[in-house]
Amino acid sequence: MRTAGISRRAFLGALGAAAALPLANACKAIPIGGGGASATSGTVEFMAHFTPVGTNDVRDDASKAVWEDFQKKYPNITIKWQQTAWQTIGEKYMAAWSAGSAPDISLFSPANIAPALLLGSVEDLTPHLNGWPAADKEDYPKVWWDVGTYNGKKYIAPLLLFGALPIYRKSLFQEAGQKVDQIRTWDDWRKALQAIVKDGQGRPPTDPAFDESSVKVWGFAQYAARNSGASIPYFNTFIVERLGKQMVEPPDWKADRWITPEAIDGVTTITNWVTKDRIQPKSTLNMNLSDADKFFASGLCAAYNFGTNTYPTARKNMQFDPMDAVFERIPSPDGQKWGPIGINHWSMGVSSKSKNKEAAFTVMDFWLTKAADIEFAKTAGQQPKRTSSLSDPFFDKPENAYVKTFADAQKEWAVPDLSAPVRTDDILLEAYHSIITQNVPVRDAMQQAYDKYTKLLSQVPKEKLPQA
Amino acid sequence: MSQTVAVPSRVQPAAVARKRRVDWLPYLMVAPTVVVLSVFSLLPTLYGAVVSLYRVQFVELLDFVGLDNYVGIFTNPEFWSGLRVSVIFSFFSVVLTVAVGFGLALLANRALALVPTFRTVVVMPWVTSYVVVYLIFKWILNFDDGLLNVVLYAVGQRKVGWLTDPFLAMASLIVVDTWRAAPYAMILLLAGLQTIPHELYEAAATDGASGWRSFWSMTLPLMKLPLTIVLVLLTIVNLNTLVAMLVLTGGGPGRATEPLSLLMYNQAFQYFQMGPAASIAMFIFALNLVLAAGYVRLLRSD
Amino acid sequence: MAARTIAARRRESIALNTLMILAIVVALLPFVWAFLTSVKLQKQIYAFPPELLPNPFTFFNYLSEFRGGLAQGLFNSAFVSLFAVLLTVSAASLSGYALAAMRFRGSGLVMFSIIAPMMIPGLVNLVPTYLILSALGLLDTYLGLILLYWVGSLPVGVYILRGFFRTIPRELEEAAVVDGCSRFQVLLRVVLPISKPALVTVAMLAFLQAWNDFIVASIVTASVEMRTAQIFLYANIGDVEVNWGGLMAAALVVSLPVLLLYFFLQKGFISGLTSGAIKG
Repeated sequence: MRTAGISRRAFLGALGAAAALPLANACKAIPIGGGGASATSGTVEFMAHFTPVGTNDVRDDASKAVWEDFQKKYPNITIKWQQTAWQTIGEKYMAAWSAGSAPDISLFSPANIAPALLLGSVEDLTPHLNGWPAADKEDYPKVWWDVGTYNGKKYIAPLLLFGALPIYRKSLFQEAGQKVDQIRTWDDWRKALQAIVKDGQGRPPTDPAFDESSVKVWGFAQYAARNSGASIPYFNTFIVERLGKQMVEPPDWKADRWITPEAIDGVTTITNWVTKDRIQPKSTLNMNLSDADKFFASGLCAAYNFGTNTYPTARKNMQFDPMDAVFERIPSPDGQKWGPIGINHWSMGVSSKSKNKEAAFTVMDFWLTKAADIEFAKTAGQQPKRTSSLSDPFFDKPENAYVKTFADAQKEWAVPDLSAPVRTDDILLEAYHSIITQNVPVRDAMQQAYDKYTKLLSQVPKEKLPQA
Repeated sequence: MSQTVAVPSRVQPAAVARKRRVDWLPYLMVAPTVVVLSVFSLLPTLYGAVVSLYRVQFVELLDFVGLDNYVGIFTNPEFWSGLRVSVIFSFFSVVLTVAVGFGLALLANRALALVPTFRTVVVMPWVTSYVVVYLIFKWILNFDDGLLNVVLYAVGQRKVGWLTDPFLAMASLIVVDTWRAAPYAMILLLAGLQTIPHELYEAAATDGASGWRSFWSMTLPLMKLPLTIVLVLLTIVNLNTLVAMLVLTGGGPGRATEPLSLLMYNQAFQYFQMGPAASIAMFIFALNLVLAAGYVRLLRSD
Repeated sequence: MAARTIAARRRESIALNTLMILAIVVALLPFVWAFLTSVKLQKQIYAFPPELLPNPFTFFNYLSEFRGGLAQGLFNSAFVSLFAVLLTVSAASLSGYALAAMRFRGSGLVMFSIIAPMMIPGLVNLVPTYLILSALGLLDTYLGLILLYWVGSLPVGVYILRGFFRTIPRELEEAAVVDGCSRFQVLLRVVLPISKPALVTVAMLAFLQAWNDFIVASIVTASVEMRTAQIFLYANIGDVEVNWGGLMAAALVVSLPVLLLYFFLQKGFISGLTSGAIKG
């Protein structure tokens, strides 16, 4: 086991500083944010949970490098940073907007963009984005444009775009006589994981005497604590595959699909992983994202649903050879086609009350240049958003191969988180919990979730429902 | 204002108090408190009361709906399960905290060599930030990799689902909360114990009263007021507890540890239903008032 | 008989000491674990089964927290907390005494208006409070924080002090009045000195409330310069990772001033007891 010699933060700080120099020159070749000649000036307030002035995250370091370049290029625009805890950024933005003191730019996630939109607090970016050079428009993939687009208008520009893919610890599968590249259906998946899991006496989960309390390595883990932003793992994936539509969609955002036979069947399969197949521990019901990441990195499960946003951070702490953990594509019910990859994001939005929108757009554009994209990819391990960024030799290295796996999956079948006007995650998760811990029949639990969602949706004024 | 306060005004025996002239001194004395609380506490609360009667979009009052929000929450089964969780958590947590806190205070009031160290160390749980305390405990209580279960397993016991079993999750929350809040009770009760003159105990001892008897017949009656204060304060704190659940269980498994405060939090900041959230807040407010009044009456009549 | 008493006393002393040691151990264990975590690197923290002793032993987390701005956070917290304590103790003494020892019309209403806000779950007040602060131009200022912390601890402070002032024998005050003191002087010279334990308690509560607050500061502050120690500490709990070592290091450092303060203020309890007022 290797121990980290120097701190990763110090190391990455140095890396970021070194990267800043060549990037400063590279910017000149970038069309957007490269207009430099315009006389835009003023102060732009930028609220985020990772900022150049923060010190807790590799994303802070990436922001710092981008900011330094920006200052050189636009000495007339001052950025004032507001660092806010990620949990409260949505409320804080909405309160600030209501009081007339909202920052010009703020970060939004699927969880908080819908209420901010209902409030009318986010500026429509479409006119501005229409003015982008065609080369830039085309460089961003469809999914980037789909995120935050309602009624044909695009409100937010993703800064970080990420999804989750299954990751498998190859050696554990091999020991159990399984091959990770042959897991195509959810059935293959269950069988492979059941072959890996053993209790303290060496009994498999299929043995009635199987003792959950003595398992050393579980099959699968997934964060599933209430109020942690978790939803039923892979639920949307199942729905999209079986019904060809997301679990809720514009224009009506209704949840009828939750109580279809296909959904009931899907949720039964998913909850069985915990209750019947016993490949996933009950303790996942108490994990939030960082707990679950740690669980996998500590070596306590063989498969995991890893977000490409958190994987680079967790990899540094893995208690096994990180190269042993490989990303694969998402299984599907029939194995004909890989499952769809859900796309999550942290995106920049401009306040509709901003007094200096031109300057805000200039800042936003600069954070979307290719140089910034590559900076976030290299320093912070984030997924590059621009298609052209992928040709950077950095992504050819074996340890960065996951970036291309992800890009391939995304190109083939990506579904962006649509951010319903009512949050669905915890409602669904409550159903998931009640099925697992209270033996509530799947149909009843999903009906309850449907009722709760429908009731909350009825509170949203019809005319304000976001359209596709 | 300070000039007016400085003007000496004599204490008058009640019988002689002149009724015609208003004595402004007490009003001046409560003025700063009342003004600052009115602006930053009563005003927002009043706003909350208004919001509970409206259909609201964040801070914008859309239309007056009367008691609809209240009807909405009272007909919601989640509300009743939340109330149940709130009551169970608050009751057991308050009882346990007061019992442990009183025990600690009695120990801390002794003249023993270890007492200064004891007093300092024991308050540590209470001076540490909430979230850190709960994160440490979540880490200790985790099923698979928690310290407690790892130790249990190492000595040949089965692992226990401290936070994943509905009953145990509630019990764990209560115990952890007691661990954190008992020093608070200790400090308040110790301040009370120290107003009891030592001579009383010495007198009781010379009269041949046993430790237990002097505790029941003397300490307890004299501690009635501090105990009421602690009970009331802890009940209020516990009915509003949110962070413990958010960090340790998120309200789960299922809704097993989802109290009214968490339900309100979700209504407000997860679903942005400010109207229903405000009506839950008003309900908690009423519950607090009733319980506080109840405690005071109970201890008075005794 | 005397011998038996001595034996009984010794037994009692052993029992009491055992109880105290037990309480100390229970209170301390999680902190020992926190400390051990704070001197480990993240990679070792992820080890399973958990490794008890740090390897390597490092103060890296402490250094990096201070490099990141913990000192500024500590200063901000200390500054606003001290002012909040001063304001709380003075305002609560004044109004607590008025409510305990003076009769005036509307005192019941005043008491209710002070205690009631305490019973409202603070979360729903968050947004309107924000709007008020914004209207007064107090967002992202020390004054805004101080005001809200003052408001936060005042009700409890008044409640506790009123309770204690009521236990003070009226004879003491009447004697002072006979000596020619005004009521204000009675409060200052007679009541407050013998109420030290309660005052210290209220001061501690107010300090701790301000010092440990996260919610208020996360709403009031915006700029990096205004961050309190708690805001800084919480930044270790990221959306993608909890920086366990840094979090525990910062948490222990942030708890230290309060512990020290409490250690020294304990004497306040004692002096409250030994001051001649009650005996004399």
